[in-house]
Amino acid sequence: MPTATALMPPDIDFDSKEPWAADSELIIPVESTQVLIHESAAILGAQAFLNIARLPYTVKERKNATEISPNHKLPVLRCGAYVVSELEGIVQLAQAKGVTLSDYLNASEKADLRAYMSLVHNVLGNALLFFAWNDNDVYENYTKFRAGAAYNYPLRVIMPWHTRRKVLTQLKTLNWTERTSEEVYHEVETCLTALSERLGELDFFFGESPTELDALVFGYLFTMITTPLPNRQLGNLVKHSPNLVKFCQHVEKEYFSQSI
Amino acid sequence: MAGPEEEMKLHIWAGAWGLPSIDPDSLQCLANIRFAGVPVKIIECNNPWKSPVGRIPFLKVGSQCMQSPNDISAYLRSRNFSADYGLSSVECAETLAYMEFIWDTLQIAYQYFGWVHQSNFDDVMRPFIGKRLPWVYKMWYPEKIRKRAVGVITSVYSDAEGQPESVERYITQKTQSCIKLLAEKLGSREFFMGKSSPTTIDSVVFSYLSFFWKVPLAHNPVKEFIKTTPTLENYLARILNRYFPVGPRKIEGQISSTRLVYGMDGEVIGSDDSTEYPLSHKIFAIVFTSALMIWYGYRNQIVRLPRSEPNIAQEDDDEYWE
Repeated sequence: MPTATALMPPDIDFDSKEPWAADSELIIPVESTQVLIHESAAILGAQAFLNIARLPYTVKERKNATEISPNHKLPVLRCGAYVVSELEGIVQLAQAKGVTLSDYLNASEKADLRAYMSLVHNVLGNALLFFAWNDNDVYENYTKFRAGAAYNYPLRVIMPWHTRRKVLTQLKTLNWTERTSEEVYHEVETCLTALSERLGELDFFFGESPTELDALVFGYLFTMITTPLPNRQLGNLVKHSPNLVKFCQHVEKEYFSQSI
Repeated sequence: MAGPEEEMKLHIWAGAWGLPSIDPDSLQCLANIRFAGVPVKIIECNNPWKSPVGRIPFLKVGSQCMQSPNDISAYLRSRNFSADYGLSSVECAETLAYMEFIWDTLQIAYQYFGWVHQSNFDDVMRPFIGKRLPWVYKMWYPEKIRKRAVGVITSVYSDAEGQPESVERYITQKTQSCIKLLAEKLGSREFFMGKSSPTTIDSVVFSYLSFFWKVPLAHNPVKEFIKTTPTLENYLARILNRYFPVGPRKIEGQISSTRLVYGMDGEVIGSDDSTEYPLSHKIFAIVFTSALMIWYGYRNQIVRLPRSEPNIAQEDDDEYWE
């Protein structure tokens, strides 16, 4: 069974002859007890993409979703013989199957799309990781219990500690642990301002119809607004840009009302 | 806060092969400064000991010290020096987005092909940086940079150590598509943001691409991609010629460093004061070491001075004749 990891260049390895499997499964951790804020953003982004592209899928909650994932990142999508993870993997798989949301863009817009996706992924993704694992308050009251929820006693204590160490090393190499919370808020604010400027008064980032960037941004912003973290500042930062809030409401109404 | 009259000094890594510095971060700071026309003294500094944070490049103004290209350009902006004043707010947003995009693609490729790739590291980067570092640092500093680069790669691709081939393939592919996208974004314009002068985004793209373009790495697929994209190659040459003129003549204008002189390919021409010592030093060294050696030989009786020999001969003669 060919299992493509997220590291394989997809256009070489994906077999595009088969259409999108109707029984595709989006595998996520148990939402009520396990999911962390950054995972929830990634899952919502992937769901938004699949909904926008009108690709059929069912959501499966699995305690060991992280272990199923080829690169330990979430969410995981099983489509026919392939297992891919994260929005990027899913977008590439869909493209190999002939489904794409960004075909109507010209070359320079395609470059912009990649650039803004990097921006959202790097800034908002790392900021959420930072708040979930580096902020002591959030870690003690929220992250620790959710990260250990899938395991029994000794592992319940060891696994959150182990994952925290791993995440902090990763943030450290990217120079994020040297920053204070205020600096990270500032970073997030700059990123949100950039997105707000780009969006302007448009419905979607590239005009009439949504692309994968819209799915990614929706995933992050909606999670930041709705997740009840001990510090609510992240949600408030989004609310400073009315056009981003309007964008979230629009996407939710348009693409999430009937399917979920 | 340092007063505006204090001189700004930018310390950067050494340059070679036609580049004023081979470190993309240094190059980015340097380009930013040239684009914005900031009066800064450039100092080629290969000694991390001199940096308050242990990293190069850094900008020193009085007692203040800024490190990392972003902090430096934020400081310069606070002093009203920026190349981005002509940009609209959407273009500023775009600049931010492209900087992250470059980080994700070209920066990763730089870490991989410059430092993680074994033969590139052993044959080019390590000798280059090792030759220029001060004595104690050259024992461990290159390894430190390499370790950090491995950390960056593994933080992006968690199983990087398990499957090096697919990581390299993946990075190469991402870089290729990045270069293609950048070329399309640039189109027929002179600079990325379309105006007659370059902006911050140009400094970022230029710094990473020119590393691959000029540094003779043994294994360098990125250079092939640049070579096959004439738009970008012309763009790099344009910036290099216009803002970093090459040759044995000194760079004129606001950058008043006498050390920033480098050859077209290969070695630095003018900044070799680290290896070229004055004659008096050489003579002193020769005299000093020979004096020390002679003294040592004399003390240990390896060398005997011929002072007592005539006496002995005379005594022998006397005995003989008696």
